[in-house]
Amino acid sequence: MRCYRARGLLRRKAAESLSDSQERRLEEHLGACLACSKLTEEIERAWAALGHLPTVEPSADFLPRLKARLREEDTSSRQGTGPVRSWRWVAVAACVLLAAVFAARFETGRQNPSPEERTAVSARDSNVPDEQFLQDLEEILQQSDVDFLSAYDVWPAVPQDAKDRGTRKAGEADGSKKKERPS
Amino acid sequence: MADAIMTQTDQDAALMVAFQNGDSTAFDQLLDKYHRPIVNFIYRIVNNSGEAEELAQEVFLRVFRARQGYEPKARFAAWIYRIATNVSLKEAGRKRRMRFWNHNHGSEGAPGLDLQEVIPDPGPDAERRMISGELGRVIRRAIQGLPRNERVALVLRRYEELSYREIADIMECTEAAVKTYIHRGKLHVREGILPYLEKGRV
Repeated sequence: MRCYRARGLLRRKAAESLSDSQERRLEEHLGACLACSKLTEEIERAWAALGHLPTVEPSADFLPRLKARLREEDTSSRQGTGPVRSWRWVAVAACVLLAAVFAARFETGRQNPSPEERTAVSARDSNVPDEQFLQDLEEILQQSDVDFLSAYDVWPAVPQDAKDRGTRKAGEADGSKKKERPS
Repeated sequence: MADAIMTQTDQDAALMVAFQNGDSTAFDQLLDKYHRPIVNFIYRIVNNSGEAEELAQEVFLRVFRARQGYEPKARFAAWIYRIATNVSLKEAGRKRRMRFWNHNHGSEGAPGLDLQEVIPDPGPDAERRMISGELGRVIRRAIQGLPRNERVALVLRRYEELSYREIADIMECTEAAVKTYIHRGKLHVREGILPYLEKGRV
């Protein structure tokens, strides 16, 4: 077996995915190859050497500082005064306040409508025009430049010759289409 | 049922459950037991003692906040190391992005990817506390030179003595992948300390 194949088997051995026959062949190679057996020995020594890494001792104030932070966290969670919670409450309170302001304005508007709104509402809600409605309507019409009533009363009648012209044009248009159609 | 069995076999999980039920002394016991290993674990990942302490504090704060939702489905040690791994890797990723940004934007003090930048020195104060000799420094450098996955898998296995299954859960990969990471890590560490191995000083 070549060394590069043995290295591949070593990797697979580490992943515990070697078959019995592969393991046997690897052992045979390691018994015969000085370089590969030296490599496996060095890997084991390197693993053992990792135990020489010194440990870190946390600073003296680590635990007191942590416990203070935990107490603060605990107090915040009990009272709901943590930074995140308080911001959420501020946001909710602001939304509620805004909604209340809009609702109040809307309600005030409904209770004290403008003359135009009052006119429109009374005209919509009642089929019988009351005195106030008629006065308001007259006032609006007087203020306006357009003569609505005359426009309504004197609706222009369509002259007879105009009616005839309309019929003839329609007939001509129909005939021209027939001419264009291929026989 | 499984939770009950777990708390019987894992005393730390039982302590966490006791804390969940209002026993604050149980959490103090967990702090006493785990604060050194967690600081050490994070130090081996981020290679800075000050940062390691800050991140360890973050780990315990997260454990504290998670008490209500805690379920002893796994060993407590595996659970807390999972949190510590996530916190450490997030910080390591942030540092990597900062290095990339500084390198690309030519900010002052961005020396490029030399060894001292990849493996920042912990400073004289921490050095005095932590390093006991030349070999310790060499091993520390060898560990810091490992790719992220190899480093996490190797540290969790070698120093925290977690099982392959637990490491696989933490790293969200298969056990075979963990074993491969550890094997590659061993090979890289061997390369890093080869002069010492050849001199027979290890």
